[in-house]
Amino acid sequence: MKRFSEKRGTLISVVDLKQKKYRAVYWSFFAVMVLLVLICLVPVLWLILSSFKDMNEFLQVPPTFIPKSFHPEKIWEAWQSMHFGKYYLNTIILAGGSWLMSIVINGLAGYVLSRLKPKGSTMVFTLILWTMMMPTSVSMVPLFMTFIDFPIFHFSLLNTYLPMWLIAGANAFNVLLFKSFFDSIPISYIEAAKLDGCSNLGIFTRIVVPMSKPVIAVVSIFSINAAWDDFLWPYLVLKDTSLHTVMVQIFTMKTTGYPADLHIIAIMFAIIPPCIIFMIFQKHIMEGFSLSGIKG
Amino acid sequence: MMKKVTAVILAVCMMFGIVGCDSGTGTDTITFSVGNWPKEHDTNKAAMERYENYLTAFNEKYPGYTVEKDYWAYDVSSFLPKAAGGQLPTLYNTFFTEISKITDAGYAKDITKQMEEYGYLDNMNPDLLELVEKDGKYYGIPYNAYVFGLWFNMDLLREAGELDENGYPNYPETYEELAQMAQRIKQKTGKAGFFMPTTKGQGGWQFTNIAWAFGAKFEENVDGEWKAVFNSPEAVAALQWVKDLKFKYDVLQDNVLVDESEFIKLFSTNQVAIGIDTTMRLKNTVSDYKMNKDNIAMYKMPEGPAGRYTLTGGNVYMVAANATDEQADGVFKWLEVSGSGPDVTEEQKQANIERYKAENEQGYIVGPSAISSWTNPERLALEEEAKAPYINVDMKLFEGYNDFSGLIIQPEEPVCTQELYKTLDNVLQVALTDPNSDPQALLDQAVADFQTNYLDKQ
Amino acid sequence: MERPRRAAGVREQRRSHVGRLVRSNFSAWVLLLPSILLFIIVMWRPILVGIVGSFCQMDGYTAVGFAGLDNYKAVLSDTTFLTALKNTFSYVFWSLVIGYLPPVIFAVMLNELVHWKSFFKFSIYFPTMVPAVAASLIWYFLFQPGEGGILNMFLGLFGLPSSQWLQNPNLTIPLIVFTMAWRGFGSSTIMYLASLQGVNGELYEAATVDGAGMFSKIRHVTLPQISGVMLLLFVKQIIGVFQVMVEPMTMTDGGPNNASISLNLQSYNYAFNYFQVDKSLALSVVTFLILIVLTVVYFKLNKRVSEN
Repeated sequence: MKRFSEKRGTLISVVDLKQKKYRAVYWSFFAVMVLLVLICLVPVLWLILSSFKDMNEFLQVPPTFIPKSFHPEKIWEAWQSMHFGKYYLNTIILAGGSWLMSIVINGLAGYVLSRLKPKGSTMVFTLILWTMMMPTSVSMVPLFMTFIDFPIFHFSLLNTYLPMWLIAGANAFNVLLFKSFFDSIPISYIEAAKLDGCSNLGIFTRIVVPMSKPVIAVVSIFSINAAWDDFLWPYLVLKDTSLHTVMVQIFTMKTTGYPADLHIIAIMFAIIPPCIIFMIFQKHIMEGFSLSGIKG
Repeated sequence: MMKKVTAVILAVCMMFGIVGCDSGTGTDTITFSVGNWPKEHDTNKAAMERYENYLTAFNEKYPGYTVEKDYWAYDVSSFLPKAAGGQLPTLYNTFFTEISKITDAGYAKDITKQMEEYGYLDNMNPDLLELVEKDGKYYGIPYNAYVFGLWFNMDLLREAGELDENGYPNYPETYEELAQMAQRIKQKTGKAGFFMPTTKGQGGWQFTNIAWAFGAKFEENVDGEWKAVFNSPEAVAALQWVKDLKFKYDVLQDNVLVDESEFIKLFSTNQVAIGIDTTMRLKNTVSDYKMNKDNIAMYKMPEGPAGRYTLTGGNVYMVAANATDEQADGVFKWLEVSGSGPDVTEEQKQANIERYKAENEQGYIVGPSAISSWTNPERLALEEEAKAPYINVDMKLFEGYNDFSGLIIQPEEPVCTQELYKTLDNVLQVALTDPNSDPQALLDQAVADFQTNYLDKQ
Repeated sequence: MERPRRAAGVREQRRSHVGRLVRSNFSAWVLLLPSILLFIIVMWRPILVGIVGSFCQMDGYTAVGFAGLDNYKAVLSDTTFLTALKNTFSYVFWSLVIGYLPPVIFAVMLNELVHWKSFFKFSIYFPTMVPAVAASLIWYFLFQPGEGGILNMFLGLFGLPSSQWLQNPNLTIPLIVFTMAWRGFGSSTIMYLASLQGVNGELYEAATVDGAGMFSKIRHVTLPQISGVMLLLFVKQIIGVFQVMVEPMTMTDGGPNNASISLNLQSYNYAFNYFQVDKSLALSVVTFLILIVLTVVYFKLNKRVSEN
């Protein structure tokens, strides 16, 4: 148990806490937090517990919170009967492509805008920044039209992962993140490389990238996580069920002939990977998050 | 500047172009694709094998064609994008309700010539043919039709003591009896006695049938203009009956903001005893939810003050609008080989036998059938003969459904059908969630909305 | 002869300088090109196409003629439009009440605690990692009405009557917003917390010496510190929630009786369920305009406030 004396100077100071009144306030704050944590964790806990129930218990009225029947083997059976590995694989392909686009395309853009600044690039930067404020609703249908009939060449991107990859390549937030990071790299390194006759691309790959591990890590986590969460575009363009991603699958399962207990297990499968990522990269995620300040 | 930009864009698009285009053409054979091909899935193995057999037979008989498998099955949300992208399978199937929408949008090929040539026009039920006709041209092959009926979950009926001494249900003959029976089941078993969907247009779909029985009309053509008329006392009575299911008899499923697929789910898992559905969906109870096939009984729709109405719908084959005549020919040859042709041949019979055999082996319900689209008695007999050895349920449980006496079979409302259903969905959603709602006021509002939003814009 | 030669030398020098500049600019532009193209294809062109398309008559996804304002007339005269508009503002209102203010309070509280602090931080952030669709589905199951619903069971434990949850037209929007907030507030809280940790402790001490009470300290020390983040999140919240779509789609499909339909969901329905792409475009342009107006008004107001 930690002690009050470790408390930094805040609203209620260490001195204040000697008074009963302030102690009451302190512990009521604590109680609110406990309540909040329950709201945050209980739904997920319910989901996990429900996955182990047999169908009869799942449908039972009134329902149970803590399962009476316990069937861990059910999870594996569900995984196999739903062919869930396929959806995992599809989502990994989707996430992999999106990740590559975020790192390479957004990273290059951030680098050019931060370091090379060719004439006219500030306007490009402004245009890119604007897209962060732009409501995307108006572009949903036209973008979809683009994907079913690509301009000029008239082919369809339906049933491919390309639309999501293209969208990942136009991520203003990541460009900004990269740019502000590169802005902080001391210019002397780059000057030195230039004198050695390095090309722009060479400087980027040999000098800048190795120095940029922190920002690359943050962008990687964000982009992979975003790809895993992505629903609307995969739902719109992946019409073939064998290409479904995990999110599309758990959405369509509501109406495509799966019993509710299997559906619950599928939802659990859907949240496990991001949860694992969170457990491992907790610090990165929460810090990257508060640093970036704007990501939604 | 503009030129340069265009050049660059062109170059990049080409790059993506390489990724996008992979269709190999240039063979001598005519290629067409067949939609709704059974997917690789444990429960579909038999169907898959059957299609593979058709394919082998087809390839032997017609070496000039190449058949591509397309696993896509019709659904509303993916149809339009596919059609607009020119990605529809050459042969696809859909529902009667979608026909006018698809032909109006121009996504179905005019196949009058082939239907004439291959003998469809002479051998098919003219009432069904009317559905696919527009301006004297035919756009589809209605290959089966169904009527609404009541589904009964035998387990729950048994538990509630609703079976007679021979183990058959005491069927409700009127809407009043239906409500009471549902109530008894609810009281004895604690499970919902009746199911009513209210989303995806399916609430409206089922409600029109109920309301017809109460004497309601929905759309009337007055001097060439369509008028919404479903705020009559009869329609109000029908809505009151539905509302009573929730607030007087209290027999409905807990969550009413659901569609028909939820019915299949709840019915198959013994959560709901009775609901309105068709023979088309019987298969899903077994294939999706492992329901015992002997646990289902069906009966005709109950009688209302205005008669015993039942709504008819069904499935139709269509050919993609961008198909050539040669491809369409291939499609018709394929239909022949796969047992959907009009001719009475050994080949046709064999294909049908295989279908029922596969369904039987799979444990699906074989027996109760949809309305046949054929009028030719020999063709009808062929189908019955093929089916007979594979019937695997007690047909007495479906006797009442297959007996059409006293039934008034009615097709769906003629214009803005989906929009009408959507409007009625909203009415049902209020009626079933707000105990204080006034059916008359709800329907008045719905009529006004439907008139201004859709009928006036016709 | 001297002169011209020197002039030529200068010119040469300049040309090579210009050449280098052009060359280095050129290679920089080449590196930037993929991004520019993608932003054009994915962001800018669709907006233009959408605006132009909203004035066209569409057959499927192909424009077949000029429609003038017909689509707009059709969309705005549809009785669902007003409902959707009202609902969308209702979503925004509730999201400010449920989703915007609590994180500020939670962050202030959490900042005071020393016990279990990292556990609290972890748990509060946790729902953010649950994908939106999964979160909507989880709550959809929890909000099961009737005796079978788990939340109703808990209500029953406290002797409270069962709720209709999402089926109650008055509750449906607040509950959907709650689901969104459940996912969203962790990240906001962490952001406020980060900025609160930057507050100099001496400021609080000075305030104490001046005899300031707790609320006075919050007003004069805490709030000024986080007001920047608060403003930022305010705009973000409004823009984001104004475009709400997937959550009602997953949880209620806009029901009961359109009680939870949003402008965007209606636009989606036009485009993907009713086969009326032109109407969908017109409606999304209307939504777009409302949002632009809101944003501009907000920045104007904000400027005036900060000037005073």
